[in-house]
Amino acid sequence: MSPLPASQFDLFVVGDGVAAWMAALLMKRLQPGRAIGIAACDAAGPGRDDPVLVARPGFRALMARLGISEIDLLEQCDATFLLGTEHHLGGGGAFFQGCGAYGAPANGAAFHHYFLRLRTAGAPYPYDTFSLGAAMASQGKFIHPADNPRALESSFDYGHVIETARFRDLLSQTALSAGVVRTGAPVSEAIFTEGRIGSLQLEDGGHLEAGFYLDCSGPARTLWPDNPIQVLGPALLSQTARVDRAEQGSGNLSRALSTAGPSGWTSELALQSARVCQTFELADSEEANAHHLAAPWAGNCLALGRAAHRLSPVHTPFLALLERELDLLSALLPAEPGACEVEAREYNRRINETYARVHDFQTLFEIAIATRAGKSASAPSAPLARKLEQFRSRGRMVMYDEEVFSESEWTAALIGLGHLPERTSPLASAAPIAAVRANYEKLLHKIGQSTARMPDQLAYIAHMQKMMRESGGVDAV
Amino acid sequence: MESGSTTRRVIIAGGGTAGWMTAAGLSHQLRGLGLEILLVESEQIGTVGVGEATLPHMRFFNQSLGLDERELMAFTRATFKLGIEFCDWGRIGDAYIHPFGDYGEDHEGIAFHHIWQHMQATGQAGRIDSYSLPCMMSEAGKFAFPSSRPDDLLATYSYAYQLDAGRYAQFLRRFSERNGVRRIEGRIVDVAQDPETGFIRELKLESGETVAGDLFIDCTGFRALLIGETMGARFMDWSDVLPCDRAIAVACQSTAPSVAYTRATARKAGWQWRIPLQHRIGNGHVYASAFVSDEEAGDILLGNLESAPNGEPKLLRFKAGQRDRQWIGNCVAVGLSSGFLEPLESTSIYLIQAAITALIEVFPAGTVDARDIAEFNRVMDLEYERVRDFLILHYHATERDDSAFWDYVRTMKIPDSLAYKMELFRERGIVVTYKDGLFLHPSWVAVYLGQRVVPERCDPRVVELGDEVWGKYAALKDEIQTRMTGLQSHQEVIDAYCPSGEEA
Ligand SMILES: Cc1cc2nc3c(=O)[nH]c(=O)nc-3n(C[C@H](O)[C@H](O)[C@H](O)COP(=O)(O)OP(=O)(O)OC[C@H]3O[C@@H](n4cnc5c(N)ncnc54)[C@H](O)[C@@H]3O)c2cc1C
Repeated sequence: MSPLPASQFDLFVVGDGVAAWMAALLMKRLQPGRAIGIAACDAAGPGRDDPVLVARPGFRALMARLGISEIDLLEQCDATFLLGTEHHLGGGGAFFQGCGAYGAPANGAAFHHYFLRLRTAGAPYPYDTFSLGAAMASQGKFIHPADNPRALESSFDYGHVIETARFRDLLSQTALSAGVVRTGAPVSEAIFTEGRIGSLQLEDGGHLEAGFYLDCSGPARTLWPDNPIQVLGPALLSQTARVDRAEQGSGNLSRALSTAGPSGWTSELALQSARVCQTFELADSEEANAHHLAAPWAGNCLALGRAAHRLSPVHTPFLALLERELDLLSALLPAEPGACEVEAREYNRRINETYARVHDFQTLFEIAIATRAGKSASAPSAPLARKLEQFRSRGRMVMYDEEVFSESEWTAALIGLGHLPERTSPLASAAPIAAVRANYEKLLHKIGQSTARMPDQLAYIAHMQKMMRESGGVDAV
Repeated sequence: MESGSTTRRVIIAGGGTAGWMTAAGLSHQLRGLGLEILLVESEQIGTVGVGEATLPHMRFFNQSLGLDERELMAFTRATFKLGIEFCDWGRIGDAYIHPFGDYGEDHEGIAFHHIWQHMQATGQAGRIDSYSLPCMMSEAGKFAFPSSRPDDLLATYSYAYQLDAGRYAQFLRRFSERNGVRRIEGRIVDVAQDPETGFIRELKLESGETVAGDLFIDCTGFRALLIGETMGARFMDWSDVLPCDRAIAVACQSTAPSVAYTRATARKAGWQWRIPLQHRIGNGHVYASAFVSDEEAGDILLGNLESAPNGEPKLLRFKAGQRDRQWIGNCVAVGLSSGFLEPLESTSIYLIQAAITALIEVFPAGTVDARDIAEFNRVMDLEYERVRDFLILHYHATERDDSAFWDYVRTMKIPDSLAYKMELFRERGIVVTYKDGLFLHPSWVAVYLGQRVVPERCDPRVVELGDEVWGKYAALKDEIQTRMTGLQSHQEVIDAYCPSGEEA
């Protein structure tokens, strides 16, 4: 490939946040020979919405592709390991929502059918007592999951809580040292020819050209401000500005807390050095619709992150969505920027379904909060309505293509929020209840023993760091 | 059953493969419910009497019943099946195997078929089949059981059976009767319904006997006695996209050691199957009667047998399509009564299994619930539609223009769902797969590439891959060859593992 002039790129990213830098770095890693540039635009200053980000388990594979190790996240981004969220519903109700297993299936029936049988028979165990991840989270413990699929310690999974500003810095340093080029002047607008971006106008009067553009400029959508949006439904909750950073004492790092208030809720996420509290209130304005671009990929321009969607803040889905956006982009990498209609169509089909499925999961919680606050709740989408109907009817979990939240999270959330099935699977009725109870009580005992042996997360992190230093240092970025 | 009462008594109408698979599945999996299960069949009417090739899913069905594989294979005179060889589909002279397994392996998120296509363009690839152990085993007449160690080359495939489906039904009948299922011989001549709910109350037999029940499973084959005639489910005709509507079937002696694959050879207005069992070869010609006469179709079949036929060829008539609802009231259709898709990819027994699994999952242990019916119908519609699209692909992705039939299927309007998939592959090599799709990524790649649907653009990273990557794939090809030499022949494995005792 012959070198391009300084104002020409194969791919150009507009934005200065996590989405922009992660996209630029990933594109550079995937195609090291390509010229990849990045520039901020005025609208996308670094004051991003979330002070902390929540990563899901799949994020680890993405980090590996970016060449960023777990130790980097721990040491440079104040990150912690996150096993799940403990929801406190008010009135004493609480449940844990984690990505790992709850109980174990038997005779072809999922565990929750047995749980319901136990419950009907008067057994006093809440659903999440059968989850090792929940037990670890409630005690602030952590170890990495075991490789052996038969070990109990392989039955949980984890994500991360990461400090946004530091993570952005880590990404930008890594991207720049990998060869991503930052240009000086901010981008003011895109200049179109025949429905495609021909070049970018810079604030200093200059121009830039690229084959393909990534718009990571946040809600301003600098490159394509009038690209039409598609409304998913009302987002009942809006994020208030209040962010409390409390010094981390010897607190629990392994779980997120989510506590219902009279008309919203408070979430508490743990970094190593601080706890970050955010308050969400029921929004009154029509403005608060959840939406995404109808076609996030149009022509030679793809919008990522907040330039592509505005969903409710419930479950802090930004990073999970970015992970999915980048996975899809990697699988559909434009071969010829001038001809990528089918790639765009497939990307849009799948990502729009992803946005809709995440919105469904959020709606589930928003309905619960609105109902408690005596407000009218938004109607669930048809796929969510079917999921609710099937679960309530007989505990059947309908999972769609492009789900982000796992089946075990959906199940935990539905049971936790009180959508209990009227009937259970006939497959779960084969074994006598005494045998079922004895079997699962054995599991409870093992969960107790296993958790007792595990270290606190802070101690575990310190141990990891020590091991890394002793074995020759942390992976270079 | 009146809506409001509890399911105690299940009546299965029909004792073909569908009937006895249903009896076996329900009597074993729902043993905790204390059901009474009765199966009514008529020897006088008999079964459809064909259906020999299966998919790997059948093994999991058998395992869930706790059946012994060796015993089952010996009884049904079964052979192993690693895939299907398609001859003359893209062009006359072409051949490829659709294996139950992977090709090559992906490299850092780049799908193998992109890598292969690039190697092919630079002259270093060879056939894509040489990167697939099941393809190479099939061609060489070998067989080995898959490994359970995930990093083993022998873990890259699965297998199914080629069996005598009539004997499979007999095997399951013995199993079901041991589980307490009661068989009633007799011809159903009338069906009584509740005048208010329309639910079926009882079946009337020719002998005058009546068989009452709470839930009725229609396994009466193409007749669809209960779901169609009684409950009024409409047949949705898909002949415009799957025009084959007849088959002539006949067995012949095998003249060579058996191989672990089925063959489907395209003919002037349809295709011919060859399915090797232990003691015979099953053959059949599936064709479109609008494009070829029965007589000519019979001649084509008989002219392409490897030995003399074992008896008189049997003519079967059918139509491609599906019932608009497979469960109405207290009547559930399983098997040919629910619809039919031609046996090109051996999907019928799979669809029976899918219906049984779905039925068990939403079984109306209490009363029949409209939500269960809706879910069952949704799941089965999806299964049918996705199999349908995959079958149409075989006909539509062709360059053949040597007969009116091939001109028709090459140019016919195909469902939008398939047109979308084909366009994505043709332009950019992307395979659209779904969470609940029966055929996964490698199956689509096999048929696309095997039938000359070659992507115009590839993953752009392919051109930047270095020599170490190409070396890795050359080594994989060699490893497959090396592993192959140590393997037993398929016939040797059969002789040692599950001989039927029948003369071949
Ligand atoms: C040409 C052809 C090739 C095929 N090849 C394959 C293949 O390779 N692989 C595959 O998986 N599938 C194949 N199939 C499909 C397969 O044969 C069927 O799916 C399978 O046999 C199930 O049939 P069934 O039990 O639904 O119907 P049938 O076998 O027709 O059974 C119907 C039953 O209902 C009874 N019955 C009907 N009416 C009455 C009545 N009035 N009173 C009492 N009893 C009654 C009959 O006696 C019989 O017992 C093929 C089908 C055809 C047509």
